[in-house]
Amino acid sequence: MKQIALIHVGKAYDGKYVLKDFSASFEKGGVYAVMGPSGAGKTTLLRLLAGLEKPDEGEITGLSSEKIAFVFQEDRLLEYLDAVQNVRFACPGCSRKDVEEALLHIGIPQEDAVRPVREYSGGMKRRTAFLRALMFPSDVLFLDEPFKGLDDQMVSRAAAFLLENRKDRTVFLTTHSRKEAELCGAEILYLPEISPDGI
Amino acid sequence: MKGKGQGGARRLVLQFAAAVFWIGLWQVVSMRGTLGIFIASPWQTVQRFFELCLTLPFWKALLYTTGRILTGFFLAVTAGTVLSALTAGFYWLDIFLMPVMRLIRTVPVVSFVILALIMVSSRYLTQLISFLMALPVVYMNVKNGISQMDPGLKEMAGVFRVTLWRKIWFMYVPQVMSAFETGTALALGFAWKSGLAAEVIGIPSGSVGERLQQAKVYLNTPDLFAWTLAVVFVSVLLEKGWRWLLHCFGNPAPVRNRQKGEKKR
Repeated sequence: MKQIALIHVGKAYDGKYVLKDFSASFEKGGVYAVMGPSGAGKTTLLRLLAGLEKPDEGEITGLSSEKIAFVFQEDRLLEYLDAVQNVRFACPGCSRKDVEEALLHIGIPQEDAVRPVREYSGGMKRRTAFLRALMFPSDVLFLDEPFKGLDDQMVSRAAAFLLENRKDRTVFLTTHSRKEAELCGAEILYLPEISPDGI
Repeated sequence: MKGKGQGGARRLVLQFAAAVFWIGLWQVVSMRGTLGIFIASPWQTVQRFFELCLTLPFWKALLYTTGRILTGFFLAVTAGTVLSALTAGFYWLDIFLMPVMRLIRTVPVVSFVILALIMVSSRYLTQLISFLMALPVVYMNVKNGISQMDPGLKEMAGVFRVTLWRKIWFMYVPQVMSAFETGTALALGFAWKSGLAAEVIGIPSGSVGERLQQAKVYLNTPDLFAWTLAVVFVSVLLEKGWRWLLHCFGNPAPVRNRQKGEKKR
């Protein structure tokens, strides 16, 4: 199995380390949940893996040629477009029918799917952003708190949908909930908080 | 709701009363001895306006001036939009262009008119001056609209490898549209006023500016006022027409006005 590796990776903002001398390796095709207290560097780790930021120290291997999809902590939707159009904005190859069916699976009925997302609740926006990433043809899925704002029932539905549709893609997700990680069948990576002196 | 409706009606009555007051004052002033020679009455103005409307040279002059001002305006809209879009990719271009844009905005229009008259034929004066006055307004407004684009959305589009055209159409155009509408409506007003001022100074043959100048030379104030009225009408019509065009064709948001149950795209 090919591997993704972080080798002595360090990342600091304004001189303050968020990740320091961090090493880990992941098998491609696996599901990994990054957990840890707020400020432990979960989002930073995802962004480094996704190549959205460069490490200050160390290196990351195994991901340079991969096509990625990302659920950002903020939904980052085009507010005046509807859910179908938002998904198809990222994935023009997806048919309208397929997107509508997928939206239905995650609890967005057709009559809501044609409304501008600015009229959506937080949970509906989150599910749209989640589906956009899932339907985008990628090799690696990065999900930064993908179930934020969803109730337990919806989390179960979304997690099941993820497992059904991830195919053999590698998945990295961040969460504060062990239950969410378990629902996704993820291997948990726990990030400890770095002390102010960087240890 | 009742209160709001009453407030609207009251406002309308007050606006009407204000208009009657000012037109009345204009009528009174026009009837006063010496001043009356220089100021045509509202009735004379309207009468002369309708007389002019029945003549071909009136429409020819209006068409001549409007066509030239609009040429300058559209050139400015194209150049201003393209240049401001380019600054999104090449930040140095903004630094390079900014002194020129500021200069155009600060230098009085009359200086440009005189300079233009020395350098180009008065036939092209209207287009050139309208272009120059509208360009910085469009450029700065569109540039500001582009610079306010959410960096998170830009990153999202990069992650999902969205093509440039889709980014422009679905992200930038809706984001910039409001700034574009404000900027171009303002620029149209500038282009119109400066274009006319240029015509009055340069007196291109067959233009509205020439008619205004003639009215001034012959102290023909009914003509002056009637032409001014025509110019105001055209200016308002152009601005309304431009905003209407932008509302009809300018916003790619396909769900903006779609109601539930309406046919999908």
